Amino acid sequence: MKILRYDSGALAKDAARGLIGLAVTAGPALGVENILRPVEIVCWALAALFAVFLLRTALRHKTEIQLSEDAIAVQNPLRRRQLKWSDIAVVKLSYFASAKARRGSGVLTLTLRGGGTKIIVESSLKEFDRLAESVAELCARQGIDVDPTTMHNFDAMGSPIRR
Amino acid sequence: MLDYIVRRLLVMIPTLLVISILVFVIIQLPPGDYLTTLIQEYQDRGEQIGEEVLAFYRENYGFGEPMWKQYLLWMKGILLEGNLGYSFEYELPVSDVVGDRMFLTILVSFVTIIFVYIVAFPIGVYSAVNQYSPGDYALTFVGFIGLATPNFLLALILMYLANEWTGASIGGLVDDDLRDAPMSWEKFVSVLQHLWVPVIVIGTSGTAGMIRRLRANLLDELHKQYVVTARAKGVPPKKALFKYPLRMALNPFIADIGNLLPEIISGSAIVSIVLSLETTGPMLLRALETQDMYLAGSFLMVLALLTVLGNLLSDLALAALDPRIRLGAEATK
Repeated sequence: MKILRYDSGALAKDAARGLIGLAVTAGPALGVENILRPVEIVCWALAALFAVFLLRTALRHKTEIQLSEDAIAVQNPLRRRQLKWSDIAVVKLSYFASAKARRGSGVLTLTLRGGGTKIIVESSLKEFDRLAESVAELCARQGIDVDPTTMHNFDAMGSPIRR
Repeated sequence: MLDYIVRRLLVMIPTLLVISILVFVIIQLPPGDYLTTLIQEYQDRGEQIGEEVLAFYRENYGFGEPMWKQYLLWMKGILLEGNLGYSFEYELPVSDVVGDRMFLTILVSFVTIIFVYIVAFPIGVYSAVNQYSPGDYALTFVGFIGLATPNFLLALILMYLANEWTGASIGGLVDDDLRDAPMSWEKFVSVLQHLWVPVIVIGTSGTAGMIRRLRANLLDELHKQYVVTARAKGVPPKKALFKYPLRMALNPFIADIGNLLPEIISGSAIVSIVLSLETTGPMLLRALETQDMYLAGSFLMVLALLTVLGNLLSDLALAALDPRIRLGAEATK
């Protein structure tokens, strides 16, 4: 069995982002007297978003992606999800970046679904390229239909789905 | 997606800080400041301004201090006290001066954006699907007219025609007797009755541009191989249009939201003057002329915030609609 983990450098950057965001949003909401009510609501909403992001980053620090001959599993302190390779029915590879994004500023998300289980991994995972390549081969082997966006993204990553 | 949203939100903070510095520096560029203008006005009238008034302004607003100190004073007010500053021209807090005008501006802008999308979307799709038909030619002609006509000229033409045919003046956003009244249901209804003119005037060029872009993008998609294959395999025409080509063609349509919002608010200043609209445009112009720095600065910061928010919204919508790796971009490892 092979075990993949999220890159600690990327997680440290995410933690820094979360903390900065929390400080910038919760700070004024807590510290400013006579703050306007709508501004306070927006600050708290954003602070909640950054708090969820921080929690998720902490959880990722303890997350393992376990790859075996038969299945892929995601394990973290809260739960374990396993999906057999043969059960995978839906594969999606999405790329999130702003319209004017610089090189390397986007995030790839690989979603695998089947048998009532859904597994999502992101490109900050070590050896994400290898995993994507394996999934592209799986799509070709098992004849899994993918949407044009996913097809395009596998092509752009250099792992085209060859039928 | 959460990663992406958090990153985009964090990028907004330094962006807005840099914009605030630029705004402040540009407002301060002309020689003198509001205080020197005020002293000059008093001298022109043969009067002397009281020393205590000058001392009050200097102490509270940092006149005479270096520009960076004045900037920090302004930012401290905005960030720590939620205070946009004081309008020297109106002798009122900026938030009180802006009040109703900001609401009316946002209302006009919002309705204009809805108008642009509602009109442009079906026409753009029709023109692309029925390329080179008489309907397409007619709509293309109207579209070019809309693109080529300046908004203020359209406003003048509409005002002239309305006056010529009905004898009525279509300027303003409310009935004259409600102009200075506080916002009420009656005033709101009056605003809605007057709204159609500025919405058409401000929205026409945006609508025409949107139609052209959507038509061109959809035509590109409709000629791609996957659409030809889908048709050849007998996929119904509507499904072959709506399933993927239309979604792909919408990308620039959605990316435009970011530019549309500030463009409509700032670009409508001249139209607002021509149509005597009680929006923020004319007030911004006056604030810049008189170097009413907090009022002008707050306006420009609101515009900047709208631009940044518009870009955020369009980026999020684009990411949800079409999460593709674009040329020149590369995912993080």
